[in-house]
Parts: sequence; C-alpha cells; structure tokens
Amino acid sequence: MHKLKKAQRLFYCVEALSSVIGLVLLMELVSSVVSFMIGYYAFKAYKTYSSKGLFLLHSGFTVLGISLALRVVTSFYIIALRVADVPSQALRNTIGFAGLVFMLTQLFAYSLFVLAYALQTKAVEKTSLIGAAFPLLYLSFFNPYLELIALVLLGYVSAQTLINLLLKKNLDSFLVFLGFSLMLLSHLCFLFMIVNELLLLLGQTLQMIGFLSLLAMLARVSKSG
Amino acid sequence: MSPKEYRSKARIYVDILATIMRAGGKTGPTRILYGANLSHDRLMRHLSYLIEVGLVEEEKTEDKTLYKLTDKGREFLREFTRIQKFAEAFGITL
Repeated sequence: MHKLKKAQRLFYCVEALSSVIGLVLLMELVSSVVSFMIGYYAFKAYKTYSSKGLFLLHSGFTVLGISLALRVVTSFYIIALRVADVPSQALRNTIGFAGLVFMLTQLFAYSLFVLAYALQTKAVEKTSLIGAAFPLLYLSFFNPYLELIALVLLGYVSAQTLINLLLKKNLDSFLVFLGFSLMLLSHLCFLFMIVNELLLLLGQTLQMIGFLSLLAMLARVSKSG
Repeated sequence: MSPKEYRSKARIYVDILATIMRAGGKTGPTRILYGANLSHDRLMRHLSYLIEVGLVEEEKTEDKTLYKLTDKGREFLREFTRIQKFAEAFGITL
C-alpha cells in the first residue's frame, strides 16, 4: 500500500515536471519566433536605410532567435529520447557542450546589441530524485559564469535603452526598455536557478514577456506611417 | 543633426520627398532646394535619380517645372516613417 502511494506520487511529480518543461520550451519557442520577427524587420529597415545600427540589431536578434530555437529543438530531442532517466557520461558531456554553444551564441547576440549602442554613443559622443530528472538536464544548459557575462552585456543595453526612453519619452522606447530589462531579469533568475528550480520557469516567463513587449513595439511601428 | 554630421543619400532623398509632401505633393525646385538644404546642382542630380526610380514625377508647364510625389514616393515616405520609429524605439540614429 505504502509502495503504491509512493509510486503514485512519483508519477504525479513526473507529470507535473513534464508540463513545466513543456511550458518552458513553449515560452522559449515564442521568444525565438518574436526574435526572428524583429530581426527580419530590422533587416528590411537596413535594406532601405543601410544603417550599421540597424544591421547590428538585425544580426543580434537573428542570432538570438537561432540560439533560442536550437535550445528548444535540442531539449525536445533529449525529452523525446527519454534520456533523462539515466543519462550516460558521454551524453552529459554532449548536453554540456550544447549548453555552452547556446550560451555563447546568446552572448554573441548580446555583444552585437552592445556594439550597436557603443557605435551609437561614439557617433553622438554621448532536490529530490524526481526533481533532478528533467531540470538536471535543463540546468546543464546554463553556465553561471556565462550568465554573469550576459548580465553585464544586457545591463549595458538596458541602460542605453533607459537613456533613450528618458530622451524620447514615448511608448515605443518604453516597450524596448521593458523588453531588454525583462531579458536582464530573466538571466538573473537563470543565475540563481541553482537555489530554486522554479526560477527557471520565472526566468523563462520574464524572457517571453520581454520578447512580447518588443513584439508590441513592432506591431505599433508597423501600423504607423 | 549637427551641420558637420554626414547625411546619407537615403536621408537626402527622404528630405527631398518630405519637402514635396509638405508642399502638398507638388512643388518647384526652389522650395525643395531650401527645404532639403541642397545646392542646385546636387538637387538636380538627386531629383533625376528619384524620377528614374519612380518616386517623383516631373511636370513641365510653359514657364516652370514642378516636381510631384508619386504613389510609390508616398509609400517610400510612409515606410521611412515606420523605420524611423523602429530605430528611435531602440535609440538608433539613422
């Protein structure tokens, strides 16, 4: 009887975790699509105007979209293989390497945003066994040291968008500031995910809201004119 | 924009088109010249390009020549406004 109860609890926990991971992946997929959309619009704008800043925005959002999409595809693959039960050392190493690649791609994207603003500034002269199953795999996608670099890069970009907001004082600038600030907060959540795994969900939610904020700006801009 | 700052070709085209737009969609070269802050020679060179790509039409009467914004020219200006808003939202100067 006791064993049956334990098995039932185990089953519910695995079900709940699967749902959480599914939700996290869905949110990441949405973020990826939005990132591609913004990257595409920036490319359209670059084609018309040939501005370096627009090209860097296009490259940054496209690289970020690729990074997020790759992570979604790889996570789906890992879940589909059901390797979470007993991951071998070789697989752990491969996942670790994939996590490093994703993080570096993301950092590259953030560096492109930093470069866009840096050029701009120059121009204007201004805990249980069950709990360890899926999250353990997902945790390996995050590297705390690289998260710290991401925080620094996004901190710079957010500060620049705040300065822009204070200068322009319009809703579009606010949505961009909100987008980057939420991305910054999401990385802060990822950094402390080791303390509480639920921070992964919170971080992913914040990241998706950030991208949706950028999407709202894009929709407003597209309707104008 | 400060006087020393470089103005790209696209920016000059937009300034020309916006001047014509402000004048009601059709105007003479003198008004464009002042509005877009260009010398006569440069204005003529840019206008012939804009006519060539179909953004502006030339209307010649007996005593004067007028430059008219085409539908394509209006759409170009609308698209530019969108791009400008997009860039401004990110704080990118065009």
